[in-house]
Amino acid sequence: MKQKEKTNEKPDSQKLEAELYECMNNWKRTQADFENYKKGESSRRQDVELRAKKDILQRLLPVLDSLERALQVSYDSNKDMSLGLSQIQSQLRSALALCGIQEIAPAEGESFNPALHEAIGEVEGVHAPPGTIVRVAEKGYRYSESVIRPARVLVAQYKEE
Amino acid sequence: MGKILGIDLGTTFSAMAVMEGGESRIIENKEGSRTTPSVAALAKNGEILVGVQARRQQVTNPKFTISVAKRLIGRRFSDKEIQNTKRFLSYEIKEAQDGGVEVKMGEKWYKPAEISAMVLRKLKADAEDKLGEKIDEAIITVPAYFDDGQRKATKVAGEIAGFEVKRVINEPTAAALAYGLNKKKDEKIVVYDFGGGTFDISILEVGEDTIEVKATGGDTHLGGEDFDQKIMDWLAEQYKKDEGIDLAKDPLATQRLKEAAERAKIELSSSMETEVNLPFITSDSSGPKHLLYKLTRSQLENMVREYIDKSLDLVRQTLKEGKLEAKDIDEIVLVGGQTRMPAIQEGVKALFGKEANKSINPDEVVAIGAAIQGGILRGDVRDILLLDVTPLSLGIETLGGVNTVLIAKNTTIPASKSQVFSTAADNQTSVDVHVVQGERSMVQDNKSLGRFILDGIPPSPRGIPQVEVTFDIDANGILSVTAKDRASGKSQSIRIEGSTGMSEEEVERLKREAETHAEEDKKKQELVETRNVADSLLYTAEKSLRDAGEKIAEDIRKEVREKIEALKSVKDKGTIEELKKAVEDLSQATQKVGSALHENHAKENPKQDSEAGEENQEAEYREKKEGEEGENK
Repeated sequence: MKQKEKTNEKPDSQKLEAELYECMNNWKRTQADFENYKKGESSRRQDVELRAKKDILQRLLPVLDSLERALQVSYDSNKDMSLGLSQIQSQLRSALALCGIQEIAPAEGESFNPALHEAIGEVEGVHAPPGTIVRVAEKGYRYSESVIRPARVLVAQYKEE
Repeated sequence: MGKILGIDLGTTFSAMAVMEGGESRIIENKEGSRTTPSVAALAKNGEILVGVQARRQQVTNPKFTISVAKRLIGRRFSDKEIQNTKRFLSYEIKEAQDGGVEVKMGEKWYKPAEISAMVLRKLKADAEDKLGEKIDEAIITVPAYFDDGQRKATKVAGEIAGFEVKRVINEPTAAALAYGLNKKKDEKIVVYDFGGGTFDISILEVGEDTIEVKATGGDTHLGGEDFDQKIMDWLAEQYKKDEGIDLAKDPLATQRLKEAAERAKIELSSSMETEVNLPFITSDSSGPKHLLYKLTRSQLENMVREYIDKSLDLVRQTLKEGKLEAKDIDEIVLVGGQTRMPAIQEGVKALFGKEANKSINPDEVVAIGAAIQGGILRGDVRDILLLDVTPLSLGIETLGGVNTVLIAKNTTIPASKSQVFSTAADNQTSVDVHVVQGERSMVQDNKSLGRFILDGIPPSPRGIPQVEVTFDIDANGILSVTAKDRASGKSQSIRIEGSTGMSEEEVERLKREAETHAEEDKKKQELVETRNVADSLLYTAEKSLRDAGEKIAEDIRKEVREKIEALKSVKDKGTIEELKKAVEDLSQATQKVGSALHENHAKENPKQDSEAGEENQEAEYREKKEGEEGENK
């Protein structure tokens, strides 16, 4: 850009105009790229936030499952223990609810829906319409539209055609 | 022109990526996952399900849930691999009229390419949804050993899904592209791909414009899932031995064991020991039963040693077939989630005697490379204006010879940055702005670019003047440094040309030096900074003693004086620990002065208590400002 261009010829105005146009164009493009990047950034941020939340939850959910299992056992000999456990459970549940986590707890007899449920097995010879949920083995959880973990269910068997 | 989607159409999982702003980025599917199961199913209600939903209903619908279509695509029914695979399939397959394979889903027979097309169509729809634009073009990857028929069938699958398939490229080539290895002319690359269900080994050679596959090998029925199975079997066996209960009979227990096994495997890649903890796994007449086992990394390694050794034997065999030796290989690329296992990384390193490329997520590297291939085809790379970066950090010298960086290395230029500094002594009327370049903490170890003096600062106590220093580098790498006194408005500047114009060797040398001296530099800097804190504390302590005069008890004054002397005696020659201790002692003693004054004041003027509070606040504010903004020499 320094000495080399100092020739005797007059600069060609058309050439300069073309250069200017290209520079302006590139500059606008870069500005636009940056604007678009900024716009995309907020959705990328949300994605990252969601993923981070999901990661933590996926590690925590087994604890909630264990509590649930612990409560299914009868504590005839120790009612206070059972009460304490169920209080811990509701503590944890309300904390999750406050974070926007919803349970997926299908009722028995509800139809199996792979968008929300995962079949872990089939049950033969039950008096239930085929394809309906016979037992919920583990509750599922969702956060807004996203399923963090489907409910694990046992499904009434379809008859072989 | 729309974007080109790079797709890794895997045996068990698929992934997709696009180029955005010159970088390849993985696109999440509708469910928010970065990978999608390569499974399609015809649900009992007649709906076609693809991906994770298809997998969730697999146990209730095994006959119409089609997985691993990639093992069938483009093959002839008589193919040995088909006969091998057939026994693992839960769905029906038959020979098509043209000698190929057809799979049964519902009443209809489909070609494997049509099943793959269902997966591809979902990826297309999810990507379009995520990116908010239509995507018509794709690059799809296939294993290097795929023959012409398999490649054609994969291309057809893409077309059925509505893509214009720009290229079908090799998975190992895509992985090499992701690491930019296509620029390394004449190099030989080994791609070690340990996926969920298959193990592939490829040897590539980078030519003028192409990447050529020299040899391929592997095992189509060896994968990370075998590792999980080993752990699961071990857990079930231990439990049976200890508790006499067979967990395999309970579907939920099996499911929990499977997940726990995979989790344990993953954890053992980063820690030496993990706990498999499954409370209330089952129950018997005596009540609930729990499962708790410790698993160490070496235990796991012993369990799966045979698989690792087998994979390494296959590498040796493939090298032999390519008439190569391990030492001929220039680069190694790790692909597939199982390569996160340290024992595998160590095995590969021992075999080749060098570190493998593993910085990109091994589950995503193939899709990332496919998108890069798309970017190359579209000419995305040409589009970008090449912007320079500063090779080294630029900063100024502050109190005690510390290098305070304003523009960090690798900042894209043009760039500019301002920071406010203050004076270090009372009534200081000029500051010396010394501009330095380099990564070391102390100015003396860096390169001096220039210096100038800003004078005419109105006399005031230390820490009060505000001198704004601005660094500005233009697109040509010319650095302008300006210092401006905010009170008087006086400013002074310097222009330094060629601040980025160092030879590459020089830059490299400086970076290396910074790395080797990082630890001692940090210590030196900490010492200087503590000394600066000491200086500033001595100043405040002496001032408060003077101001307080006779108003406070002699024993407090005496204590402060003693601590001042103690700090002075260690300030310039003591160790950092001694210095920190002395600073702490003096600061506590000085606080007593403050509270004594406050008490006196409260006694004398019981009603004006609030005023005293304000006075204190002002002193605090000043101190904070000094700490925040640094001090100029």
